[in-house]
Amino acid sequence: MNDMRNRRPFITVALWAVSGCLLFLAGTLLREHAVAVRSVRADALPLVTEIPQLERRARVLAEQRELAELSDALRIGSPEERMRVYALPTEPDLDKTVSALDVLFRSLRASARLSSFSPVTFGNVEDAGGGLRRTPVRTTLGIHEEGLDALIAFIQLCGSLSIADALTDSERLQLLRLTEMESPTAIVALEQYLNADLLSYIEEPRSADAQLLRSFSSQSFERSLRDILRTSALPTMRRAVSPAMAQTLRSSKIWPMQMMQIDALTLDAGGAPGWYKASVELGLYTRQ
Amino acid sequence: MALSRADAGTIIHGILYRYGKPLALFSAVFSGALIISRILVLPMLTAVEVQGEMRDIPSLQSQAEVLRGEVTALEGRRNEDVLPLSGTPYRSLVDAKIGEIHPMDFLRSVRATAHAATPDHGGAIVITSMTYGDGEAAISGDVSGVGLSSMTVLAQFLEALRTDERVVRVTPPAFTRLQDPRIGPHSPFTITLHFR
Repeated sequence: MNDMRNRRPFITVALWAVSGCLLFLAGTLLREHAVAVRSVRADALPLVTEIPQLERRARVLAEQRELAELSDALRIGSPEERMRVYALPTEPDLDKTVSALDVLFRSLRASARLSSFSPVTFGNVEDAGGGLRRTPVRTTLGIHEEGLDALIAFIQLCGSLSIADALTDSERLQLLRLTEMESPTAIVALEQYLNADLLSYIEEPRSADAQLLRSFSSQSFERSLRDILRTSALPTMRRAVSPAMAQTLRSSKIWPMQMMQIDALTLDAGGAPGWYKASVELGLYTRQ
Repeated sequence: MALSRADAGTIIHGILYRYGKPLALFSAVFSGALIISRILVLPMLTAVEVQGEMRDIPSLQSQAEVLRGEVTALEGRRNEDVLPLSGTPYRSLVDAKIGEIHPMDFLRSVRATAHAATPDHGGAIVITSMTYGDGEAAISGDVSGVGLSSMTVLAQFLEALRTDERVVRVTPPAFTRLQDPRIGPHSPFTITLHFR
């Protein structure tokens, strides 16, 4: 009896310690229950709606991929070959570059947007990184503001081969997403549209647009396409290249042109409003 | 009658001993019930039906993650099929060219900013030249016709240029006021704007 009485304090401490541990465990489990129930609303319900959408999208993308691969196999002429031969050859084609600039300058002079230009000079070939080389092309122009817009659009056109090259990455992705949502099988029509020759499109855009739109039944795609085309670089390019100029570029075998970019442009106010003395340095790009 | 310290200790110990057992029993039953609920009841409560199948949250999360990865990979491959030459130096050049700031559009917006910065003194800020290239543009010009406020007007113009979303950094000009017998006080400037 006395022994029992002596062990009482230890039993009391042990009982309270065990109770404390068990209550702590119960508290943790209760918290876990509350978190789990709350996460049903916060995580599970959005996932329940997201998963079927993702599965549907994966099916559509797989189907589009198959169609695009099939269309790719049937395509005549490889875009890579055009790029290698025309846009980024291994040697700079100086004659062709001078001819292209001459066509532009003649067109600008004819429309009274260019008053004078200095001889076009070429610098030494230099490494541009990423497996590319750059040849500086320099000239000085007495040019009107509208002529400068045309010059910039023309340089954007140099090295661009297809409609896709005149659209920004986000514009192209927007078209692909719209196709995915509106008419997944129209991916073939979109592929043909994006890879269509840029100069032909600038000359006559309606037939290519109509051919693409035939694959879509909804008006919303047409509206979105028109919006994308309106805000893209295509209208500026179309204004810069007159039908006669396009004809000359094609007949003189200047198109497709070699890749050029404006690397430096210095504008000094000219003698009359809207006129500038422009020193232009272009980069003419080739592959290594 | 006051209790001695030893008596008080004995009473408290007696209370703790007496309540110790029921408390331990309650804690054990409560924790046991919660463990059973955690193992058996909670998964049933939190499972959701997806396409006729009961799924718990971790499996839904992992499935969604796998599907997101699959969609991204498929989208990338689809885009490569539709847009040949993706990821090549050619595509990088074309994208850089089409995405770069149009020098004339930029000059026009700088002129509009200059006009908006001085609504009461139209033509106070004149842009005389611009050098564009290497991700920056150096704008040169002069502020005149505003008397001794030419430097204030130049500071206003500079602040307005800083708000342009395309510009990440502005190198301010040397603020100076010169006296010209023909045009009066004027502040020539060259501001360098660095693009994003």
